Amino acid sequence: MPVEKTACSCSEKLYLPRPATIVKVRQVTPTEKLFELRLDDGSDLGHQPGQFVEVSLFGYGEAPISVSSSPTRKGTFELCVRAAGSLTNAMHKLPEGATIGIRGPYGNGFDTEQLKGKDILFIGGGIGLVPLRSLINYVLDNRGDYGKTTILYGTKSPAEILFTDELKAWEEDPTVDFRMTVDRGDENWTGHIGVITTLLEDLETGPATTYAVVVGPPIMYKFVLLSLRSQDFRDDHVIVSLERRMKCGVGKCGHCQMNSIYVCQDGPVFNYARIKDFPEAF
Amino acid sequence: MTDRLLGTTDIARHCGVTTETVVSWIKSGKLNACSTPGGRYRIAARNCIEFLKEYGMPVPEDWIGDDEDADQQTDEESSHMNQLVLPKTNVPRLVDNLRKSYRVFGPVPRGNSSAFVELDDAAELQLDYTTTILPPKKLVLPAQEELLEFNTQTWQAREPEPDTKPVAALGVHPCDMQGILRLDFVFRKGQAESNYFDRRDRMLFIGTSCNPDESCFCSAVGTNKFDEGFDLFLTDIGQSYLVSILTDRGREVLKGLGTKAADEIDLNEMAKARERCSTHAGGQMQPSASTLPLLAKDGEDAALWEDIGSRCLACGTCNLVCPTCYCFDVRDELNLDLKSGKRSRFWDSCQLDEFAEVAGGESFRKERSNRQKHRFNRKFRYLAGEYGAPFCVGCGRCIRQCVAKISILETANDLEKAVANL
Repeated sequence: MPVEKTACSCSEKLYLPRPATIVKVRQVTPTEKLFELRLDDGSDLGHQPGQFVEVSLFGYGEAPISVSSSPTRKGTFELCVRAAGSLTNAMHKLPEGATIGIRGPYGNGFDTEQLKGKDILFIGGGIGLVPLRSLINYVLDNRGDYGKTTILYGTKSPAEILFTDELKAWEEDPTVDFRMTVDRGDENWTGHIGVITTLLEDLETGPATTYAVVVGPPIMYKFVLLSLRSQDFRDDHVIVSLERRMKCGVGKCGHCQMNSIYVCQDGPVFNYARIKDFPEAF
Repeated sequence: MTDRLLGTTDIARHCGVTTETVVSWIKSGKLNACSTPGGRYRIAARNCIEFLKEYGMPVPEDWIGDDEDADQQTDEESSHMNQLVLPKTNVPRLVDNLRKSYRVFGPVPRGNSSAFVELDDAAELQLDYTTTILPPKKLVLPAQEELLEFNTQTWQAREPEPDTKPVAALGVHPCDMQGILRLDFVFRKGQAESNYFDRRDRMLFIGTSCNPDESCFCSAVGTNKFDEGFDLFLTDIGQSYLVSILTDRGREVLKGLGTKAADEIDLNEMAKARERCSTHAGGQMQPSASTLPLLAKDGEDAALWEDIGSRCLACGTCNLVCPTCYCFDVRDELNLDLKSGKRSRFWDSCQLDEFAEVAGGESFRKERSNRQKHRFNRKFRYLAGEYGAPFCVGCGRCIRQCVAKISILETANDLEKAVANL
């Protein structure tokens, strides 16, 4: 009795991570570290701004992490990781030279073609700046392709401000209108205080030619989306990136499902017009 | 008319290699083999011939002779015989036949119900059963499945070797087979998953007609299909089973079983028995399956979700017993040496509190009412739209096993009324 093996011709090994080496680690806030990584096989990650990877630490599991660097910066890529759970805490203890596993990049990423020639209003809240930074630096590295660039960035307190060196460069860049705020200041803070929508109120935007790219915690979306609407932004001129528990990254495990769609496959970047009627979106 | 089986030494001698090399061909999947109860590899002559041809090696004449005779006889014997009659007393011989090439699983009594277990003894098998506690889903998508073996020191990782011996599932009901066909769709969609298909594609499915109860509702969701997905289907016609042959793989395992061709009376009995399977399913669903996607959408704000949510204990049983639930969690385990370990996936449940939680602690389906609504939508709307049929197969397990007495049938019926009154 022969046993036929009719393997599915399209079948793929989906769960085997690729080893990558930590080239550089920098503590960027008390809770976040920035890891610069290189794939051991020498290849580029080949990601789009806004995509994510599954980080593997054997013994701890996997976690979906946004790629924070722009694909225009070749050779290595960066992940900015908050020590939140067991895997990310273990990752924070790893020295330069250590190996981790990478699967991906996964997800759709930002549509850099659609944004060409448009004015872009970036709105980042807290750790939302991490995925947003990949697109901001992509736009700045292809300056001629994009219009007016405005960046609004807000955190709860000055201690949580990420990428301070880069923020300074954006502030000094004459082609960028950079503004930031904190919900609560401290004794050294001389900047703007207030939630991020207060920055938006002061801004002169041209909703007809501008796309707003918004990434932040769920509560921020609620208020920013209201504020954008009051400024006559069309729903389809608003782009968001959503956080979900993307356990497998390949549309199988079910954890990241938001109504009918899998965020790891159809997202994490969405045009707001597409998902505004999804009860589970925000 | 038997297929000649070859040992690894026969092949090693012929190819001029060591038996270890032959074993490595088998392990890497190049050469298909089965194993003896004592764990020795045996290779069907026709598989070996295929292998030799593929790699351009000469084929010994005596191997060809055996095999072609067998082929011719089988073809002549069976080309006009796709409906055979198998006396019930010969079922143990069918199990023995299967065990030569497969690990055989079938329903055996367990408490008030039945369970699919590996059959060590054909006498345990009870083909006349109502339902099993867990669906045969567990054979294509095990409750725990190793994805990787790793070493944290050397950073080596590899996928585990697939089992050499495939699984035959005997006594699968149409609703459960339809569940597996839906899982096939999910694991093929987007990027097809080798972990699933390496096992699934080698499996053999033998269906049986069923013995439905008041929780079954296959005909309402259109899953009373006797000829989809199976290699063989056994319809109970009294003293015998009418065996419908649906694939060549199925035909193979019937050799030497003392079957006879079915006559007109047998075929009539089969039609009647199949009709009974569908009509005796007692669960009544008022809305028709085709209206359910729209009903689920229109009923999103219906008050009944609050009521169901308040009764739900969020235990996840409905997911675990569902033939089409496939969501999983992934966990790593270290061995005692703290260096090596494995990564496995486990069945998970969208009814559990932490299912949709993210690292920051935010949960996107905090309320039980929303999780129940999510499950209903997954069964009748989201995936159903893509697949073209409901992802609920009407097996009734979630109804029978819910400690809070939440019934997906009642929900569908109440939802229809609620939407009509909106």
